[in-house]
Amino acid sequence: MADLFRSEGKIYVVLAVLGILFVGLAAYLIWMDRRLAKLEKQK
Amino acid sequence: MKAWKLLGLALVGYSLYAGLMFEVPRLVILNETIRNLYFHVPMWFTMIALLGGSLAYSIRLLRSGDAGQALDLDRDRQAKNFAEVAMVFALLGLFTGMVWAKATWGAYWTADPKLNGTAVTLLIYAAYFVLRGSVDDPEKKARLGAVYNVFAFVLMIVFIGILPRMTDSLHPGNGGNPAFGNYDLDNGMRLVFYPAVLGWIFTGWWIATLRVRLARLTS
Amino acid sequence: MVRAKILAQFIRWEWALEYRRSNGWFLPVLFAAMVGYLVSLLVRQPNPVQWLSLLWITLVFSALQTATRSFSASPSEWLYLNQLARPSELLLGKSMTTALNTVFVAWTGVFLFGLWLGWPRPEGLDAFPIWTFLTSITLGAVAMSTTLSFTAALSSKLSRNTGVMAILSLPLLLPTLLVAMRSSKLALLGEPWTVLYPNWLGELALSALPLALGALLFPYLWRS
Repeated sequence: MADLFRSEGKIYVVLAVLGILFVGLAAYLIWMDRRLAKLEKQK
Repeated sequence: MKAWKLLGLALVGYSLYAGLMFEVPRLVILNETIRNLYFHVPMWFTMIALLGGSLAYSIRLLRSGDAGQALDLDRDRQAKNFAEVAMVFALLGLFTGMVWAKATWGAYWTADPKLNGTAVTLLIYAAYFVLRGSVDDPEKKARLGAVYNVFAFVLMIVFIGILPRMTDSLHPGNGGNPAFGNYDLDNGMRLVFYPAVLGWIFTGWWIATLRVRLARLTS
Repeated sequence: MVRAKILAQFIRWEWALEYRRSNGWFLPVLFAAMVGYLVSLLVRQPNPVQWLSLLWITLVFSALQTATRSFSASPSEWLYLNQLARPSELLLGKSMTTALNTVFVAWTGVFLFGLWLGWPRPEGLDAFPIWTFLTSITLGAVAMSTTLSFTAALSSKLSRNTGVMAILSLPLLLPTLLVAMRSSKLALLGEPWTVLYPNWLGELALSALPLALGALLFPYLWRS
């Protein structure tokens, strides 16, 4: 198990990386949804 | 923004955090990789959910011509896009599985029923797209595609769900459960696993609906 | 839903067309023979498992040919047939004749394999377990033929369908093939029918499933 890794607090680095990816993708989806809604309203 | 979309994102985000930070059973060979359960397995559930959606739209497409009117081609658009996104999730599941397999089983691929089922599903739906591509007329494409979709889905379910159990009943000692194992059911991993599955299904569904809406606007 | 009299009439019509007027019914048989002979040139004295694998490849592609031919009637023929019977009856009738054809081609394949490649003698057996093996093969051929009838019906609706039939059929055949290959392998290894029969039931179930699905879906195929 990665006990040494965790005891040195390095797990938070992994968490931060994944967090950034996740926020980025989530923001992209939300932006896409809003944009499509706007275009649909125009039609 | 509909609530279920944000809920899906929230659940996935939660599973990312909890997947890394919460306790997991200490097992030989697997060690920390067991956390992959929270990410690799939901890919399959999402694939099945989306293929189910594609099936539903295909059935509704066929029924829309029952009273003699023209088929509702928007449903064909939905069936096709849901199948496409399902295939993306299938590939994601496959690649993540191969990486995990190499690390724990020592090989990228083995002769395992679950892997067979995956390969077969990908081939079956690849054939769906080949079929659609070989027809020009939109109405015919929709109709033939929908007929194939129904057949393909049933066969896939038979293959993934029933055949592994059949072979287990002939060779006792395999537990009869084609799923990964009993780890997720026996302990607190459930707390992360089920929300993850739900979150990914919602998110995958959202992605499919976005593609449909984009296709409608650009038609 | 399906009228027995019309079904019988249709099958009699098919019989007359195929065999009496010698419409090329022997082509898939010839195909099986050619592939079998090719295999016999490539491999000398294969072990039982290799023998079986090569046999199944031959059978699969011969079955593909058989089904494709069954559904390659001209548009005027289909028009006549549509007046004669309902879509579900047509599918059932075509599936039955295709199944018979496929079984015949399979038997020919098996015996030619025995002729050119010898009969594999798995360890611990005095003789080749011909009856159980043939049952497994026959049921496997029937199971393949129903799935192939469906895909052949589907691809007959396409204008250019030379490669599509195989691409469509092979993935859908894989479940059936797994059961049939296992069934024939166990039979080849000399297992008694008491051990084999769940596989046979599986083959039968996989024969029935495409027919049931086809009965539901065929009317939609024939809308045009």
